[in-house]
Amino acid sequence: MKCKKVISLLTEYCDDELSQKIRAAVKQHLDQCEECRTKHQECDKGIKLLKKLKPLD
Amino acid sequence: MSTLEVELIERAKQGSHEAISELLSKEQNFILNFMYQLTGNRAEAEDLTQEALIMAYRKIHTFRYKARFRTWLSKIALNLFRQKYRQKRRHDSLILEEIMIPGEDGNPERKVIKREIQWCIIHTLQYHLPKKYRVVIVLRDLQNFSYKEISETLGWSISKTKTMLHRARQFFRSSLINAKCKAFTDDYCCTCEGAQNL
Repeated sequence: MKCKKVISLLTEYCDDELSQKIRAAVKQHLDQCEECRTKHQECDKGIKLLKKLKPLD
Repeated sequence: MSTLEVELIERAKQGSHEAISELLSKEQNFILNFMYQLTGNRAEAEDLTQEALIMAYRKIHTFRYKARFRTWLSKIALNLFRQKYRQKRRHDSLILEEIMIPGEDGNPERKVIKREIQWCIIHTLQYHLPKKYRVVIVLRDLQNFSYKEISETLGWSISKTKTMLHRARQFFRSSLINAKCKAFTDDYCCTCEGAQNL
């Protein structure tokens, strides 16, 4: 899988919305590509930051 | 949808005040948070929530089980928010004290950093993100809606929902990075320059 394709799938990858086969292909790419790995970490961090916002009582 | 919820909806559609009150009171806090995350202002969020609940009360007979009751109610609230925020909004600064910080650990330095990061996130969400992106991020990342529920609420296809969420998150991240938010760098300084068209 190419970098461009991996980047386009990062949102679904972070949300665990990909099929097992595609997820495995993305993971394999991330294990080998530092640039995409950084993008994935940033994507993941952005989502986690939002999820930490405390709701109103 | 649970059997209990369906029973309540049916009774509410037949005019039971008790049933509609029970249905709406269960969702009230959810809608209040949803509106707060979109407006960033508790008083405005409370007003919008009240309006949404009243409208849902009046329109319950039109509910057709095409989506969850919560999704249907969110759509009503979202439309009210859109109507109210159609025009440009003044670029107010958020007041730090208004921002709630989860998981205090007692370390003063960490508390300050956390506070700045929280401020930056909420500020970016409210003032730097175009409305179409803010809505999809709030629904997915703050309200935990599924892709299907987002598409039902916003009237988008699943494919458009995925694309918009992807772009919204990219925009959100880039804004935080450009603002040198401490979540991504140690050198914090918001570079915000103007108002967003909400």
